[in-house]
Amino acid sequence: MLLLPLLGWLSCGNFLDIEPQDELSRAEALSTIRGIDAILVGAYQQLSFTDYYAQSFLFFPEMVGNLVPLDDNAGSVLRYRQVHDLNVPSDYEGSALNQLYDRPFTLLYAVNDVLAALPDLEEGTPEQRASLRGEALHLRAVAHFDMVRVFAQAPGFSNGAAHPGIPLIDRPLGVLDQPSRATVAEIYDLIVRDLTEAADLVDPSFSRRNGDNVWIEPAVVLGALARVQAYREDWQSCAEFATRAITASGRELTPRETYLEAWEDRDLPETLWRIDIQRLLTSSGGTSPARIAGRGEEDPLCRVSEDLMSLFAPDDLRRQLYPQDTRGFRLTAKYPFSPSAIFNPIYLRLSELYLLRAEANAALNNDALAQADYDLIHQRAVLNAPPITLTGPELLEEIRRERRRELALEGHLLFDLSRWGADIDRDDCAGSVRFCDLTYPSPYFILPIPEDALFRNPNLTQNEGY
Amino acid sequence: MFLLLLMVGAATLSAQHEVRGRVTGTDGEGLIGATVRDPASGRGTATDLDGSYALTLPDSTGRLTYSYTGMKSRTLRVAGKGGVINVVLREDAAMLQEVTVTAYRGEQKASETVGSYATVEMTETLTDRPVESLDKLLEGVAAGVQVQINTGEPGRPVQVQVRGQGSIPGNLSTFSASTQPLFVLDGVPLFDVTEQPTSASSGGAIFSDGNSLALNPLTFINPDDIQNITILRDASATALYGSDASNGVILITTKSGRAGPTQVNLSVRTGFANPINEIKYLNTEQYLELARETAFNSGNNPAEAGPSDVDTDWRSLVQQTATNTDIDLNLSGGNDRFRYRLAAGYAVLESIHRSNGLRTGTFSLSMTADLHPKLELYTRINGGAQRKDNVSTYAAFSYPPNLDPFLPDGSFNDQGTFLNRPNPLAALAQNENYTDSRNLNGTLRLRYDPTQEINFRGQVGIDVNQNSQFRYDSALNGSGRTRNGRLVLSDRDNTQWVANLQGSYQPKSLGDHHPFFLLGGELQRQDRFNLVAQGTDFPFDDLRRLAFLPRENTDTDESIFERAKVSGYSELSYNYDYRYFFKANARLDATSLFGGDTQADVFYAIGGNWNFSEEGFMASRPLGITSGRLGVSYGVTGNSRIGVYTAQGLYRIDDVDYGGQFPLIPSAPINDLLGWERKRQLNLSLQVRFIEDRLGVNFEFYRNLTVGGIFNVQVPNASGFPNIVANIATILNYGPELTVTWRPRGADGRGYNARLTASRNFNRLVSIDTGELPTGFSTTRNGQILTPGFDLNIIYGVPSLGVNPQTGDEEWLLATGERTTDAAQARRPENLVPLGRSAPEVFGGLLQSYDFGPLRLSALINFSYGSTVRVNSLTFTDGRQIGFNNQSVNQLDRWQLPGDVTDTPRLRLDAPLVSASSRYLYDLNFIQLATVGASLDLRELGITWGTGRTLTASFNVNNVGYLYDDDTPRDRNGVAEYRFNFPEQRAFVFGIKAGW
Repeated sequence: MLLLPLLGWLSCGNFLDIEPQDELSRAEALSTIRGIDAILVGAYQQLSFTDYYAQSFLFFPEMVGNLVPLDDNAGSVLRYRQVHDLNVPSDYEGSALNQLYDRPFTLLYAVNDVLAALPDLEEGTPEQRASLRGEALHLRAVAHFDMVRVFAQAPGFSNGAAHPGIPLIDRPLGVLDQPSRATVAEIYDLIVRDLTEAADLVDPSFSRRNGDNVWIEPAVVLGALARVQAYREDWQSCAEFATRAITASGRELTPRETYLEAWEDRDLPETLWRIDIQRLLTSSGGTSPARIAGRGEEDPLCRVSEDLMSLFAPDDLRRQLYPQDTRGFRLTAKYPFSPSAIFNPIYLRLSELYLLRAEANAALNNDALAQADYDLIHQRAVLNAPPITLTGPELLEEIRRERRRELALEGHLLFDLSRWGADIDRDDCAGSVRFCDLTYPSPYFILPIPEDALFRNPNLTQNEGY
Repeated sequence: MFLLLLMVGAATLSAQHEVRGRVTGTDGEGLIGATVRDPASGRGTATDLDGSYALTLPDSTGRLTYSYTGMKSRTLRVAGKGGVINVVLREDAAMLQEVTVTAYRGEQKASETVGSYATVEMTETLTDRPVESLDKLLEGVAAGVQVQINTGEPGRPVQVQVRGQGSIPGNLSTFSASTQPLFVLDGVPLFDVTEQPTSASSGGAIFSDGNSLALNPLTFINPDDIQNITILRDASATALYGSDASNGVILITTKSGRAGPTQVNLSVRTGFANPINEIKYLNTEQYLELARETAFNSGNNPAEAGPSDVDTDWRSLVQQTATNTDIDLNLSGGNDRFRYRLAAGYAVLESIHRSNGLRTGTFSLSMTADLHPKLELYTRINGGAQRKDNVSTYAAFSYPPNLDPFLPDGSFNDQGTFLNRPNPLAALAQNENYTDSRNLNGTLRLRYDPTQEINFRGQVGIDVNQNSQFRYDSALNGSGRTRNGRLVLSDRDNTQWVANLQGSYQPKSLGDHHPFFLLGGELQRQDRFNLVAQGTDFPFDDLRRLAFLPRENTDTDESIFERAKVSGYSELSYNYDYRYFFKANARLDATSLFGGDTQADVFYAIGGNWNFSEEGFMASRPLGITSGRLGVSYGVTGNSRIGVYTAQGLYRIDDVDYGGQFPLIPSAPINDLLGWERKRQLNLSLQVRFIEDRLGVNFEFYRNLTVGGIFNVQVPNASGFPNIVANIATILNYGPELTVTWRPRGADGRGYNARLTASRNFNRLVSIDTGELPTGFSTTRNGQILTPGFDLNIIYGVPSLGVNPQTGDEEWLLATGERTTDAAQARRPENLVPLGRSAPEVFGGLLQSYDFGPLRLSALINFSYGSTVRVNSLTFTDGRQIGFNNQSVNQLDRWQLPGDVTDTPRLRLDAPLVSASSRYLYDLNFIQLATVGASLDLRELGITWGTGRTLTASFNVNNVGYLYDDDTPRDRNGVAEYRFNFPEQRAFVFGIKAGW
């Protein structure tokens, strides 16, 4: 009858071609430069959550010597208390720290989607597409690097770093896939490969970016490489990349005169990359970094540890970054509380690159070079400090101490101790602590894989000791 | 001589004679397709377009039976008679029930339909009830149909469930398919407002009830305009609706005009209502006694409990006498060529709660025109406008009785508690919240019958529903204080249209073979649009317009949902001699839902009936059976209510920027696992009638297997998504249904009429097939566990063992068999055990009426057995909330001294809450007298007025009361009170109907 051809025409025609309205289909999103760019913006945005760089990731590594928890029962301090106590339960008991084994995967899905779709994209210039690829690779490396530091032992833990790492996600996964844990060596290989390729591709002149340092540029990739190589103890590469990064950045170290002011203004010009968390400004302040131990915060969750203070010389400029308030709590001016401003956490700044280079050179026995870089940082902080004369292992020790002094509360301590194979040695501990001191190696230098994730994926194995 | 020989020869040769004539109705019009049959041999014929018939019969024929739908059959002796026999048939009031409305075919004789149908006639018993939407009228009148009313508030959507829980319910899966049946109004499908329109993760929160109220779209259909409602329950009846069919289909047929003189009917009904089963709260004296004791037990100062000289009856301050008024006018008339019906109605329902009323105006116009003897045009337009008030009083009756709503100077109290918790009286005076709805539903149908055997029909229909809500929380009271006044404007619009074209062929001259063939195609489209605009920080409280706010104080959001479907459907049915029936039907649906690859699916059913009472061996009427039928059907239908979802993955735009640029966030993974839920339905039925068809028993047994039930499954985080929606659940529902009907003897309807329905449902989650994902799946959400092998309706909890008489602490039973007073232990998931069932095991109703002539009495009784309800524990918090909430009088029974035996523990401020405790679970077994009515035909009593045709007075009590299986003492609260937060009301309605 008449109906059948009508039916046929209509079902083949566009009567049934309806795209979802409130969202974009994946095909539509990945088929334009605009869409791919927005997906990468979304990947950056994953870093800006409270359970990632806006708070958790910045501070939980600091709990093993730089911070001490204050409150007893409040849920938001629970995650920090558990790390401080070196007693993190594998069910995470209501703390949001288990999000560290969740949020990076959302980021990875998005960047892998982009990487898979870019070869087929016809829009845009080759340079544009290359730059987008570079950004995606960098972000993929960042996500893997963060997870492997949190949930797996440092590369030096075993010979050839053959111990369990995290799942290696280099392509968009199907929802039912149950990847097992790759070795730490494989993960670091991926990270280095991705960053090396990205360093050549990222183009800072890409017009969509406005030059704000919340976006990456080649110097950031090179700097990240320097840091990664330090974790792998490939000191030659570390020093090389640190130098390249310093040159490429075109920035100068913050001078002594403006050092404290720069922290007050929440804008250190030596910052290479920081994470934009301005969107958290509208909330009541509970989610901002100042909540943890910010000067001026009414109800801080933690206080700065006296162990950190004991590392500073009496006239160290940086002492002023850790004032005591009227209640006797030592808080920090690195993340001061303000009802109208919020501090974008720093991922990478120039000071760290100098310190990495110093560490690398010291490990390579290039003592003179190491001393020069050390003095740059140390003499900025301590006026009239004499040039350092230590050499060998003592020099390395001192450089490590300086790194801790300079980069305190910026999300490094636990990871640095792990990669140095150093013990956790504290005097200032809270009463609930399970281990105030902990000898390396120990299972408790890393966090457990969340129980929930193990249940969903039987191919995962839990970390030893949990 | 020769002629005589011929005639004799002719007569002896044939031994047959011809009978012919005309069959007409009382109006003289020929009845088309009336059956003329010899009951002995079964031979017969049907009348033609003029009502004429001609039949050649053997001389031995003794009788002929003449029958026609809706008319009383007549059997005449024709032995020895030849020639012309004209028969006049009369309308049979009782037989009018013998018509069933079926999918896409319209009316059919009930005895000839294959499939499971329940027809609800809209008698006054139902239409006189002051109920604002017709789905509430379905309670207790059809077997297998359960109406879940969760609140006494008027205008809210109602959940209707046909034959059990066929999908994983919303409390067990964050994303679930709707189980609402498909409502079809004269062939135009209506939309399901309870369906979740978007995928699980995208921002649907802004359209939650908090911001934009969902109203029941059925409130626009005036029950007085409805002819009947037919519920299609099994696959054979519903398969022609394909992917919309598996939750059941409810066909609503409106009244049309009838040929004859113009008739006008006016009906005025008015009445009032008061609340029933309200929770009894403490008065000030009792409240202080408990509050002080709680403070003392917790080591606090009892004086903190507040003043003793204030006794506020919050309830009476926010309640009023509810009234209802309903005026309806209709006129109908016409002739053979043109018939019409025009109706208009206006109803006002003020609820027992102030500022919570509903005003509805509706109109309905239907016209049928015979453009040509072979061409009929039918059109119907329904429209309505409605205003619902909905100012929240923030559970006023739960405020402590020793709080004064006013300050000494007479202004509203905004101190202390009222700083952040709104003063209900202030909210009523200062806040606004109302929703305006408009609805238009229309259809146009053209029917062309080129021959008596061929028929074409084309139809277009449209349904437009538009809601706008205005809600303002004033800064002068606690509701808007923190935001300095808050305005929310929201628009919810839904437009859908349908167009179909079908043809059928029904050969009528094949003797005892009666085949029928139907083929059709249909297009449908739905567009849904939601818009919300909000503003805060109002400079002046009385200037409530977004236009007066700076832009940074406003926020808007919108959501769009579109869906289209192309379908083809077909039916083949056949019967042999009206004794053996067979029907097969199928539908192909291609939808836009799945994006990318258009997914087309076929849904089908086959069924058969055996009218065994027409067999020879039943002629002697054993057991007094006057008609009997055995039926079976099997089919597969689909559930399309899963919102829009693209198998290829989705990204959403987040409105929170990074570095000034806007991100796209992955919101749905590639999911080629997703498709429609399908239900495999088997139905067995036995229908018998006794005592001249007066007693009818209909027994049915159904077994429905949902395959591919939607469930939100947790997947490995490495995918980037925490869960996906997949068709992995298999759910089984089965059970018996019984309907017993009794009709009075006479054809005039006088006497006793009754209809008893009873249904039993068994449910089991057969399996969750997660493929490679971990099996032995169980998850807890709100105390419910999803475990394969168990009933989906089971409520899990931890058994409470009452209060320890020595210590006054509540005790629970752990899975190990130990008793414990440790609440943290009691809350652990491993201690949850099955304690009850959220759906009833047996439910049904008895609808009855007694017609004495001038007086007609009617009643509807509903019953339910075997369900359990978890009540809100806020009114018995054992001291935890007594500081700021009034409590139930049951708290007076608290433990005080060692040796006290009670269920209420010692009151203290830190009393632990185990929300899964069996203490909050009540058995819900009841008999409800849903309505009792009486109507008096004043004309029969001799009261006339002019040339008036009818004059009736009626009285109806709605929701008379409940009889619960609960031994709670009279002065305490039990399941009757705790069941509804917003109390039900008992309404008294008086009405006068006049017609001329």
